[in-house]
Amino acid sequence: MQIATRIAGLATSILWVFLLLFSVTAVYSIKDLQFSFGEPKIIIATGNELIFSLPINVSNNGYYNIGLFNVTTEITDTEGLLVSPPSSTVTPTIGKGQKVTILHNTSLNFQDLLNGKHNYLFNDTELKVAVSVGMKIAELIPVQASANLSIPWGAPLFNLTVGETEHIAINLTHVRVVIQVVFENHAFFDVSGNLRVCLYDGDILVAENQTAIEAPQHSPYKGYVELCVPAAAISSAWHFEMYVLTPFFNYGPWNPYGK
Amino acid sequence: MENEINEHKLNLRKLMPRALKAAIKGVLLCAVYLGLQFLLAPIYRIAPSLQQILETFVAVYIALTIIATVIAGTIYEHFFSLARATFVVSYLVLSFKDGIFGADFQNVRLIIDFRLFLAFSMLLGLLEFAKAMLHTVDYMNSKLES
Repeated sequence: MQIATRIAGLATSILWVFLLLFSVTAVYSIKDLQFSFGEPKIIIATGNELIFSLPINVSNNGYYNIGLFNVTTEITDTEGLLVSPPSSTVTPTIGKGQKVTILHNTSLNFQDLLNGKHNYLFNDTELKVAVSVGMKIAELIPVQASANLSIPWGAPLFNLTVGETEHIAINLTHVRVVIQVVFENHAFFDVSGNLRVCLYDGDILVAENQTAIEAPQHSPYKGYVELCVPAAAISSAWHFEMYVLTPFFNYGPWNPYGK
Repeated sequence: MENEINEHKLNLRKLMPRALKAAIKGVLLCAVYLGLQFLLAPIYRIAPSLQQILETFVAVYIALTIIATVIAGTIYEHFFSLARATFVVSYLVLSFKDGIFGADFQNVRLIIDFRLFLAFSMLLGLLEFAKAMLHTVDYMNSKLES
């Protein structure tokens, strides 16, 4: 019996040492994990979607492999409503001494974002990003780090205004109406598309035209839309509606004078 | 009187190797702990509460080991061995709670799941408890036989 208990004692001691060394070196390995972020890219996808592609460089200098390395992001607005669905990128294994670059993509559907919330078009605000990085150290011990970040949101049509309309008589029957449109693109993407203007006399469409708009990111835009309008249509009941049509979003009708 | 002095000397002679063994065990355990401290230093910066947990654990564990070694050969040795095994299991359960350890740095929350470590430690603690129990039964048996 003594021999059996002695062997059991020896086995317990060896297992304790093994367990302690393994646990300590595994947790210590977290220190030797290095992360760096590459230049984020914005990709335009079909269906009014913007895809943010963030390269994450992971260098595993620890003693063990890393299993199930995953990055999850979730974007919400200032009121906590989900703007973009949670997106995850999972890498099954990162071997020890290995350096890998993981591309984490988060999509943002612009049309969904604007549904009922047009202030994103006109007002600068901020979005909340919940980032979570999880992994299994030595493919056994789960570790997770999470953070909440705020990213500024620049309005693509900031301070959209219509300047004074100019009426120039072409002939006795027609008038050329020139509408000046001004806005600042505060967004992180270029606004390019068309600006469509429809002029109504009461409920009757009397003229329409569109012009191409090209506003690089963080730059002001000033453009004109010209309409050839029958002189008889220029009455007190006239009003016009504007539409902004871009690959990311469509906005309109917008009545600048609220008539 | 002389007999008493001789008996006292004999007891001292018996105690000396045990005390030496206890001292060696204590020094070895301290050395292991100090070695681990070197590895754990960066983790303590992340989780200072872990240091407190481990320090208390190691102090009590070493004290119980030394006492059990010094009084080896008596029934009390087995009491202390059982107490040490019980302490390991109960302290791990009480200090690690659900086995999920969380820490905050600025706006980053770090969560480490120690449940697997906790399960293995408890199993080893129970194994040690069983071993101490067998030792006690064996000791009682040998006492009855003699």
